[in-house]
Amino acid sequence: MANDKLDLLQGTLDLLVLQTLASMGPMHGYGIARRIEQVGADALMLNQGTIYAALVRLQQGKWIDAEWGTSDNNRKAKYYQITARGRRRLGAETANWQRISGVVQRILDAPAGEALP
Amino acid sequence: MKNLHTFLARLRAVFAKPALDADFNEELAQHLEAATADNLRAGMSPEEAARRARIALGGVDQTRELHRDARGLPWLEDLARDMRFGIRSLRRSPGFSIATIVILALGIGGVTAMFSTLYTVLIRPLPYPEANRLVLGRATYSGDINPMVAGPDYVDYRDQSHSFSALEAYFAFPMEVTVIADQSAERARSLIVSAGLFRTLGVNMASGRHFTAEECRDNGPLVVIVSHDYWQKHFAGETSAVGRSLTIDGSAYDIVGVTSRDFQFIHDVDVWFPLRPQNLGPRRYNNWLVLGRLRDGVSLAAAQSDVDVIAAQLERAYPDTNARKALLLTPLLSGFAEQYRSGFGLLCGGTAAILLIACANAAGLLLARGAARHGELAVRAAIGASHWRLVRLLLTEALILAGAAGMLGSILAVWMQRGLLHLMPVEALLLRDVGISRSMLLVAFATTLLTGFGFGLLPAWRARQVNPARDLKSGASGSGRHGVHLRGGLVIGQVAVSFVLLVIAGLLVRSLTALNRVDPGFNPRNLLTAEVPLPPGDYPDPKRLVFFSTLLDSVRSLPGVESAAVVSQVPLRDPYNNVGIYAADAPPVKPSDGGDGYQRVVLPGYFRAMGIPLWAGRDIQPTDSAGSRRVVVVSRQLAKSLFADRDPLGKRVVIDQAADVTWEVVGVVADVKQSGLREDAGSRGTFYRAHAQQAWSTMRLAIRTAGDPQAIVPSLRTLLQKMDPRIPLSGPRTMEDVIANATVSERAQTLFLMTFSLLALTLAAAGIYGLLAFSVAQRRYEIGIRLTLGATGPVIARGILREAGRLALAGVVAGGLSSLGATQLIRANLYGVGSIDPPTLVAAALVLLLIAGLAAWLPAHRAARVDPVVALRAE
Repeated sequence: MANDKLDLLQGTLDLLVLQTLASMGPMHGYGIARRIEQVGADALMLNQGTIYAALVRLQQGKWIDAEWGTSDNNRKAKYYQITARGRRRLGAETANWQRISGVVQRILDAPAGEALP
Repeated sequence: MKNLHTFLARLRAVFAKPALDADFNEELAQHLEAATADNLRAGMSPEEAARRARIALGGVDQTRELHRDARGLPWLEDLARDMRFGIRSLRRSPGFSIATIVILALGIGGVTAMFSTLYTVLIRPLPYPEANRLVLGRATYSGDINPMVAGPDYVDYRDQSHSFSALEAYFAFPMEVTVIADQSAERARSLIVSAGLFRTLGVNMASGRHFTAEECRDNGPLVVIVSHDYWQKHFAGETSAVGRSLTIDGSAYDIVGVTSRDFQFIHDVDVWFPLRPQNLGPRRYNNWLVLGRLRDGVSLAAAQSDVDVIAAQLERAYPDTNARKALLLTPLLSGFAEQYRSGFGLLCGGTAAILLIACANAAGLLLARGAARHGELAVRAAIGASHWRLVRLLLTEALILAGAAGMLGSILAVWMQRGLLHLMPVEALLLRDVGISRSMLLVAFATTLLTGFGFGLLPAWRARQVNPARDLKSGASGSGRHGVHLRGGLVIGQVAVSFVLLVIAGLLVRSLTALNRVDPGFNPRNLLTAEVPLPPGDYPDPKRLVFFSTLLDSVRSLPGVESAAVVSQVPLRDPYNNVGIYAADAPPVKPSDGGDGYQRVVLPGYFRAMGIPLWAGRDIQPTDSAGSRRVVVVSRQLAKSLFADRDPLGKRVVIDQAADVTWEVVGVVADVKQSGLREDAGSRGTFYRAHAQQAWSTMRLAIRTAGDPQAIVPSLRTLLQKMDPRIPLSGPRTMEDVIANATVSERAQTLFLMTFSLLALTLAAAGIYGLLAFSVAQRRYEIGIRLTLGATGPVIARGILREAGRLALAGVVAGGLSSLGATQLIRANLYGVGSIDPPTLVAAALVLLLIAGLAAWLPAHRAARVDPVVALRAE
């Protein structure tokens, strides 16, 4: 179902956004989207619009802050910045993600053998 | 919702929508600009650059929608949108909306008023601390509730039981006393209560103290506690009132306390006397109600078996008075409330029936509307609304209607409740604070919600069957016929419920008519009645005799008076007071096995003045004096039960088990209804004694006047004032008023049920009319074809009328069957008519068929006048 797919993406996207802000410092929405696309080397199919839904969610959870500022080319833009609370969550989620992917990896790598009785 | 502040942030976002939208639009514009600029740098044409930027974003509108959903509370916004849309669409058909709201408001208002009253009277905890530990004790004979307990029995229960932390008693009837404050005599309501009653109920004193043990002894100091209202009225709430003295019935009593303002008892009482042993009376008189507080850890059942043991002991010790007698313990609230149950059942049933009909009607209207909106719904489905969305839309509309009706209904409920309370003799305690209460609002809210779902669910559910492909093609409604069947079912249900209400109303009318035709046994025309209480201390026996005979003579000579009489209790107005009586030559084996009769004391001329025919012997004469032989006049009924076929004249009777004195029957008079119009002629008779031989201090006047009885009240007051200014003329009322009052609750119930059934009939008629009008409108094409093929207008019209007849008949049959059960429930309310009364059933059926015919007339007329050319071209 459409909803399930979206939910799955949501969690991951939130994590990616947090990581981007943590490593790059304050950025605007377009910048975050571009950064994720570049790092993901376009292997990731991303509607840039979904970034904004993720940003709203993160803001409401007080994991990031936002304020209007001026961009490199002297334009007004809304800048996002990770909070201390956001960093804590990033740490926890990253650990969680690594644990899950490790488990999945181990299962996938396990050699074929006898089924358990 | 992950946590509270996310929810709050989202809620804020819902209300800050315009600002947040503007903010995001700007951000989005920045995004697109930056993306376009990057694309231009990559060498794209300006159009291509902008297009790619939008594609990468995933669509501007989609992004906005996504952002909005993530930001706010989509379901709340959807609800608000549905509400706005619902209100708009309801405003497009104001006639439908107003009709539905009014219909539902009547139903909701009635149910709210009824059930919140029900709660107040039957369920709400009494205003006493730990009220659930309080029990009411009532005497039973062979298991039938009496309910009064004999004073000495009470003392035995109190002293021998060990289940109660306190067992108290109060006199079952408040008594009027004459209180003199500042020269003017005034009547006040008094009640004798045991010393600990207030403490047991947890009543605090506003001033002063409770009764002491000393004050509860015979010959102890004379003291009273006064009510808070009385204190305010006569002493302006001054604390100095405690210790002041009141002259009550000729003796001086000291005020020792004032009850607290919020204290409520089952009776409104001004003056409270402490119970003394001398008040208890003999064991054969049952005048007390017992009220106890269960000891901690003792269950009601355990307490009951405790008193059962004592009752058995009393039965053995006093077989004359206590045979088959026991004490029944009930939780205080249900004990108080029991008497109102049957009246409530009737009214609750009535209001619930109205709400049911109202719901069916509203559902019918919504179904019709749903059918008419089939096209609109199909379009909505075609452009992407899910079935669930359509259901929600229609349900929202129903709930909006119910909500509006609920608000209107709550307002109606407030005064409907006042009306309802007048219908029931509910005592003051239980009703002190009715009005808009939390319970009432809760009932209104629940009823509203239930109603909204009740009538909205069916039409909404049908919206699921919308099939755009089929429905848009056919133009008309694909499942319209099915809707008509459903509505037909609703109409049949309405007719059935109306029929039941109509039958009940009919039975009540018949029993009221029967009651109004009851012969009271005396002539009630132009008869003024009033009470004259003498302070017993100031008027010893001989003085009383002189006073009342002088009074009678003076009243007879007042201008405008045709005749006058003095009696201890006026028939119908002052009920009860029955004591044991048996023939001296045929004493019962046990004195308690003898029958009893109403005892009345009269001055000579009573029967003539009242118009009570003398059947045999003579009436009470002036020659019957204190010194002459003791005589008694009995009613025919009593004569028959005492002496069967023997001649009663000259026989002697024993009254009140005082076997040492016998009374000679000197006359037989016609039977009179003493305690109520419903009094069964076979139940009991009356015996009359001469005042000269039984000199009571409180007597009543019955004065027959030439003109308006009330006109002589001033001269009567002047007369009494001249004789003794301390004696008030209490409660002058005409007998016609008394009789009208005797049937007041019957009349009110009848009026109520008639209003209900009228309302139900109107609603049912509206239901029939609505269905047929709709079906005619829908079948114009078919009717047009039939007319072109040679059918005539009258044939078509007859078809429509037949349809109405079928619906009504089905409803009448269903209603007839249900009424057989329903009328059983009101059997106790009926008089002079059986619960299954063929004339009433037939009349109700005819009325409903007639109403159905009337409701069908206009649609039938319209069908007959369909112009085939127009009808066929319109398709």
